Amino acid sequence: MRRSVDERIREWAEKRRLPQSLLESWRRLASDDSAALLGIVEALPIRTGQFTVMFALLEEIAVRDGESLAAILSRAPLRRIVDGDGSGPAKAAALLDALRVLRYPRLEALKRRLSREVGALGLPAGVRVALPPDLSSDELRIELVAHGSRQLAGLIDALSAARDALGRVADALGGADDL
Amino acid sequence: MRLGAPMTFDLDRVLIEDECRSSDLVERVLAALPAGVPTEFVADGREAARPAPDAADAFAAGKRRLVLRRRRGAFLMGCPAASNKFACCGYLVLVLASNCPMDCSYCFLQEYVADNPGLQIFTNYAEAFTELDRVARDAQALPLRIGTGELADSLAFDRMTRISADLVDYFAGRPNLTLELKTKTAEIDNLLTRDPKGRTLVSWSLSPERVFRTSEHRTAPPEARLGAARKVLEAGYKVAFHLDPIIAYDGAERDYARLIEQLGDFIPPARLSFISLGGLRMTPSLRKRARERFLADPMLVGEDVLSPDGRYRTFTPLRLRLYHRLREQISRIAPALPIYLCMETPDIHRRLMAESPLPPAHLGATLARA
Ligand code: SF4
Repeated sequence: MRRSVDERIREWAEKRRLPQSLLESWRRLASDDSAALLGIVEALPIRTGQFTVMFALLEEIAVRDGESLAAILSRAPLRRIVDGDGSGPAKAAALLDALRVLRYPRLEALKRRLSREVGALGLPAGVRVALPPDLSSDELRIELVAHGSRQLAGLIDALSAARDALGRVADALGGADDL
Repeated sequence: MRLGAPMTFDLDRVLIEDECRSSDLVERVLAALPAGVPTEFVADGREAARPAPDAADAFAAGKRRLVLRRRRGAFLMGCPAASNKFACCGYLVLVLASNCPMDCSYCFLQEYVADNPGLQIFTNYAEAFTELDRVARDAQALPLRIGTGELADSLAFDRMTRISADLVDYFAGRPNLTLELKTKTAEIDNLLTRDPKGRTLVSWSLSPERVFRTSEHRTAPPEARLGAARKVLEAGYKVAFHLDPIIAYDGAERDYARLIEQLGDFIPPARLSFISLGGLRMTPSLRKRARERFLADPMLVGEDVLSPDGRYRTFTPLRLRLYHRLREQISRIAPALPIYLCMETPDIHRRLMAESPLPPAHLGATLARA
């Protein structure tokens, strides 16, 4: 006999030691939504921590976009990840990444763009450029790690050559760009 | 112009502290109460303001319980948002009431007065004038800005209490004090009966229509706030606006630009006293509480991240971009208008204004004179 969606949810939750409150929230969802979520965790090896994050992201996207969880999970970019090739854990991680992009579209786009721009500068390993975590401040941190004056001079030269490009990154952190 | 409906109260009961039975204010409030609201006398109003243990939403239940009581502590205090982490405006707060009959989803009172959510009005408010006399004397010539709109909306109860009239009259005779009445209502009838003699400023928190609709429950619509502002300006009051909280939803830049245009259509920009800007900020526990109370509010799920000060805020480049746009737009309609930031760090202030923030007392004096 086929087990009901609710039984399968409970079984998965028990196996993963899902906190009771989260299980209750899952079971309180509309039936299409709870089933869609079950479909995901049965298709991919989602860990408990990942499930907690995924659930919160989905709920917040749903509130912001006025869409159901099932509708969000059936969006093409997410379906492509779930149905695509790759290992289960890699797909689970990619799904979370994609949800984060949906939840924080402008933040993720800017973070990725700035990281790419900093990477493209090809700075030597002794120059560390750190963007603020989650772009939660406007501070650009640059650290030089040198062993000896010659190496230090080289790093300073490399940094000087990147001065304009780094200036643009610093300005972008201050809201200079279209978002 | 769409006029806001008058402030209404959704009261289950009114609790009056025994020792306030004969207070004028109690008489005024009782006379203005909607018919059928039960009243009761209690020994200690502080207890009556505590959260109802059996209520599913104790904060909402608090907003349905009006407590008239004597205030035991001081009426005047520093602004609760003041911190040495922020570029502050030297604001002093006069606490004449606590909590608010309106219900904005982002309101910090959900956390700040969670332990005493009853609507409280302090019947011995006249004692505040003695404290104000002392402060006015101590400050000598330094202008001070003193507001009543931090732990409650300044005008939400005014239909019942008519306290604004006493305040306006008091401040009218104090050349170094400016009263700020901060509100999201259009409750200005009592103000229109007084002559403020330039000593009272009425300020409105203003949000785009979309934020009003999703998040500012029971408040007057933005247009009604602007209409009320125009009326008090014509009656001799100073007028200012707080674009606070600024919420960076998709389309916010366009909506806030439109709002500023609309503001300029209602109020001659040269007659504005100041505009403050403040991005939405929430401690983790406030955010959690607000999300639980307003499950479907899209404004509570913006691109907010945990900031170095421990509050959730819109990630900095987006927040700063909105500030830049707003500042440009405001400067276009009112080039000399003072603009200040609320609860932002000096670094953010420098980014936006290209100069260091004034020390709090100095900024406070500037705004008091504006
Ligand atoms: S009007 Fe002000 S005090 Fe009242 S609920 Fe809204 S934010 Fe809070």
